Amino acid sequence: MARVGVFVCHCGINIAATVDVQKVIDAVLKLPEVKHGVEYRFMCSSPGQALIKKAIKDHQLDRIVVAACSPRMHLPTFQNALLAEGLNPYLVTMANIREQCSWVTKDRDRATAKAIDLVTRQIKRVIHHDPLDDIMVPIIKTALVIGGGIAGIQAALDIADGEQKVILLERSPSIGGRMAQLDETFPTLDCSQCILTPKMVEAAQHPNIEIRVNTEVKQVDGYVGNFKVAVERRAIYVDPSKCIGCGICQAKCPSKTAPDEFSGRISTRAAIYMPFPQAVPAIPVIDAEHCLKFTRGKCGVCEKVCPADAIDFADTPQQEILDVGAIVVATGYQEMDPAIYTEYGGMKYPDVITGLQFERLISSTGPSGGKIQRLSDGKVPQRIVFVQCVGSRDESKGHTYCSGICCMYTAKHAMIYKHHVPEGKAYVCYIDVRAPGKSYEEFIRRAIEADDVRYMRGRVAAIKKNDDHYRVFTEDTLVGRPVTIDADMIVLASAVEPNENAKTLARILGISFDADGFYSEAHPKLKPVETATVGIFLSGACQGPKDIPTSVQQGSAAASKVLSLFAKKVLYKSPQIAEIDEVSCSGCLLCLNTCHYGAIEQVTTQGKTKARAISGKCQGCGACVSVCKGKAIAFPGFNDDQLYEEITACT
Amino acid sequence: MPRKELIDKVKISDSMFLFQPCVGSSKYPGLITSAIDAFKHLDMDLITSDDQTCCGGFLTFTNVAQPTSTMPAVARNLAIIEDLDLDTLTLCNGCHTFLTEFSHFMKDRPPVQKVVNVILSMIGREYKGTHEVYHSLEIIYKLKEKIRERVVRQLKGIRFATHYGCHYLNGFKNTAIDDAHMPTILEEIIETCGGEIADYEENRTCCGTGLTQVILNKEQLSLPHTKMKLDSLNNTRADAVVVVCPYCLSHLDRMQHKLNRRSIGHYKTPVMHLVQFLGLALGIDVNRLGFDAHAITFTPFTKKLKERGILKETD
Amino acid sequence: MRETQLDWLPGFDKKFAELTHGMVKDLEKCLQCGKCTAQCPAAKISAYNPRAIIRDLRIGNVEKVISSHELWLCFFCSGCFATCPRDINFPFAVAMLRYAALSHGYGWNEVKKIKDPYAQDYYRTGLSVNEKERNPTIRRAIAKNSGTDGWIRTIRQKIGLSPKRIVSEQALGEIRFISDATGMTDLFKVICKKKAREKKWNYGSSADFIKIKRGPNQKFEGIQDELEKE
Repeated sequence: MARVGVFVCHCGINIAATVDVQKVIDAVLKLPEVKHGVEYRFMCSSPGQALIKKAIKDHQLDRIVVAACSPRMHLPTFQNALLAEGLNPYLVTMANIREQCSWVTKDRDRATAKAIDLVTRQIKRVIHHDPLDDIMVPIIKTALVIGGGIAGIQAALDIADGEQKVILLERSPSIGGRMAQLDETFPTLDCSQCILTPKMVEAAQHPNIEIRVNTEVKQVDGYVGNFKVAVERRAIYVDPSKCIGCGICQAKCPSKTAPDEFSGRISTRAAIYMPFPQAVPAIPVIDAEHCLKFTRGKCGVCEKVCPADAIDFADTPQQEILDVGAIVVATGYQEMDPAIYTEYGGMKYPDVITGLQFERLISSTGPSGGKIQRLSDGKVPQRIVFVQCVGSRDESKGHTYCSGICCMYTAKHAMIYKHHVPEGKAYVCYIDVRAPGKSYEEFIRRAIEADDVRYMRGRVAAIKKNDDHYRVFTEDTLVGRPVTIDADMIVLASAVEPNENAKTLARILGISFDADGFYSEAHPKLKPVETATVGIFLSGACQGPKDIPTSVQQGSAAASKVLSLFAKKVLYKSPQIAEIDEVSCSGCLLCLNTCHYGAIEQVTTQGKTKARAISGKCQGCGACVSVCKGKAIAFPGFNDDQLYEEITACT
Repeated sequence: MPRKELIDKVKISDSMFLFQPCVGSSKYPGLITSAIDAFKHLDMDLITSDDQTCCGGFLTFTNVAQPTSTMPAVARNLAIIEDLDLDTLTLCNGCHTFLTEFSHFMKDRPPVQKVVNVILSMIGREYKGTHEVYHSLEIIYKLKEKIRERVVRQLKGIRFATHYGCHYLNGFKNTAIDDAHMPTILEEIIETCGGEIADYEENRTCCGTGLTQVILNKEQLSLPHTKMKLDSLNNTRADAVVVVCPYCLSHLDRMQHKLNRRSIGHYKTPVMHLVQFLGLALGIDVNRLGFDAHAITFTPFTKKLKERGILKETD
Repeated sequence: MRETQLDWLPGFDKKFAELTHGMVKDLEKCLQCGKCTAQCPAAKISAYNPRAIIRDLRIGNVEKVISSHELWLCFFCSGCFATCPRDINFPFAVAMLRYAALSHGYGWNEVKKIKDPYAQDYYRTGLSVNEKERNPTIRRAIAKNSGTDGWIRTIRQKIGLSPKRIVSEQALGEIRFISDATGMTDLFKVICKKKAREKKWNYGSSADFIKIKRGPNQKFEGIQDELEKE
């Protein structure tokens, strides 16, 4: 006969105020299997666990029931207690007498009766538990970082410095991400490229990092430690092994009308191009849509002038399968296109531009060489109005959330404008100023006090064009009067939103995203860089709008998760997963069609169709077990005996 | 930027009920005759009824009558139209708002509809909520291609300024067929008939009637505001203004006259309703357009049309 | 007098949601961003301020709103609703607040001026606006433009309509019945008799209005803000 020990927790007053824990103990001690039963204030505490360990020793217990909170909270804690005493951790079970009992009623009698009921069921169940062994899964010690922005670069560098291999994937022609587009960064106003390029070069030269640009993820199979990622490198028509990055092709290319994505489309680029001069790798690519050779069959100048014979018009997309053990998603964000804000001109007015476009204007490598000038006539603007919250904090037309970085970058823009054009006037129309980071508040005050940026609280209602300048209609809500401001340039702080194809990538990876399209972390407070899918981690703005310091933090955090994963020799996976008995299996494949995780495959055994569970992918949801008509699927820890005992115990 | 999914939902029928607006039929009767004749040219019969009364919107939103009184009145009008098995065509932003809002209010709240029908039952009517209400702007835009084929008088070289008014685009910000801040449907209709667009900065500004302000605070609110709009309009040398609401029409027309009388500026841009514009383009008898009732004369306008051969001397 | 919590009616915005039949149920969503006031035509030329009114409703200072002159300055253009990032139906709120003001004695003079002639005409003829042109200068202008006597009934006949718009006897009977049965007729009588309470300028002053001057070559002056003058 089994020897069951029962431990009933008070959980302070959470349980004990409603459930009469002594009564519960008294009731269960009457059961023949129960050889020991005590109640205690906090079972999860060290003394609480010590109680279990001591009781196992003293009373030769071989099954344990802990009546306390939800097993999601502390089952692992108690499993460790059993392990410490040499007992198989799957021989303990929990009765939830808190969330499912003391927290749903104030009636002491009914709560106590239910608690006794719940504990008894667990006692009857646990007798039928068998010892189980965790499944061992090997780990491929190569990480894949998807996204070559600052978060991805940081993650790659940290993993690589931890002596593990990293593949850094980027879909555009160069790593660097959004930071490469910035001029100076807040709150220090240091030059973005100057602090970014050393990291980019370090990543390119690191022996453990393999950078792959122009590449996208097409499909992901497998599970933690053993992912199979199908990637495709676009046709770029330039041979990277031959190109020396001299840039002659770009200079000579006759097609110069392609909109330049890097500058937010306020300028154009050649059809063969490097996105920016400090690109890593410094290998141009050909944009077939704008290349005259591809669209009209003429040209080929680049091929003629290339000193390294690196142009290859016969290039085709290349597919490959990568075997990696962990994936870090660092795909970043895009700036919302404010064309739907027709009250601001619907982006049809030439001098109404977005934050990113303004960054390129002030950037020395940008289309105007760093000179702040109007896009319409090249004149230096004398009055700029910066409009905050365009597309953010807007339930009606945009996103409900706050984009987090615009208050800071707008102050920065206004300050840089004032540094360039000291006699100019800068107005910032805001609703609230959000400056929570280190030195952030001081930065805003510097803009207002040292650089004479005028802040006016009120959200801009309309921008009207009046010949060659504009009128901005807002209200100074602090005084309560509507105000009209004449301006010759307007910068809209447009919202941070997930990339256009973020949802597609999420589905490929099997990770979830929230209502706004940002990727979901496993726990909003305590697991910011993990996803619900073990082995896939998040970092940077793909998880939510954030500034550079936070993105770097998350990159390092994700890297540490990867390194701790790779530090293990082998992974242990829960044995509570489906096992299909091929003898009993009728081959109906209902289970295969029910499984959400693709964890059942069709096999042919001795000429007959059978289903087989892929242990690595199974998440232990049990759906297949419930649909199998032939009862061919076993589920250790949830088999029929255990479940029936639990159900029928008190009836 | 027109909203395609909403335009697709507009239903065109062989005949529709013409909801005669108060200001429209009593001050600018040309709207009624233009509408009837113009739609005839588009294969649509417009039916009117002597049982149809004022929509009641003005009385409700000026707090002279409570919704408890005017909702049964609206339901009564709609019930009459339902019995004729017709959808409603409105010529007025106000009528349109009132008929649509209250019919939706009743449809969303069956208990309210029930109570209203109790009152209606006492006069032998019932409101079922089975038919739709469309603004003439919606119907005309939907028929744009047909209009293009049937234009008789190409209005080439004639400059038109537009004025959408407030209630259709603003009040129905999500369900109107075009965007509230940068609409283009009226411009598209005008260009379909060959006309040129005269843009002006205060295009989307309210006409200035302000519902009651023209009656209660004319000197303080209505007139200064309308003057600002008219000054902007004057800068653009338009031959006429096309509006979609008779209240806007009346205000823009008569305020120009008033300002002229006070020697504050010189305003002479004639104002016409979209259905009058449509009638003009589709070749109906010019007399039926009813320009005679307007305070700002159409003589220079018709003269220009005759000079360019768009109108015959005998028209 | 400084505002204190004694001026604040607790739970007003929830009550207001019921009063407006759920049409204005989300005043708490207001960010006080000011987009409404920024484009408001009335706010440009008077002390009317929709954002400030919502602020007062939220805090519960209802008395300030309903006793104010400013409440009666709204143009009803719905521009605030069109631009509001939270889709708050403010014009509807104004209509309801005016009813509230009336029930506290404010605004009866405004309503009197609408009742005669519009409400009376509605009861009498079924139309709120009749074809009889009361303004002689308009009639003269029409006469000049049309070569007729300038009365609309003449124009109507000229273009092939009946001289007056016809509303059937049946229809008149029906709308009068509805008006009597639902209290509209009684309300008209009340409007005639009611003495209005004195309103106050709670958000600004009457000096915030602009004066349009008569006479030739007068420049239009509007509210200019200091910043614009720089």
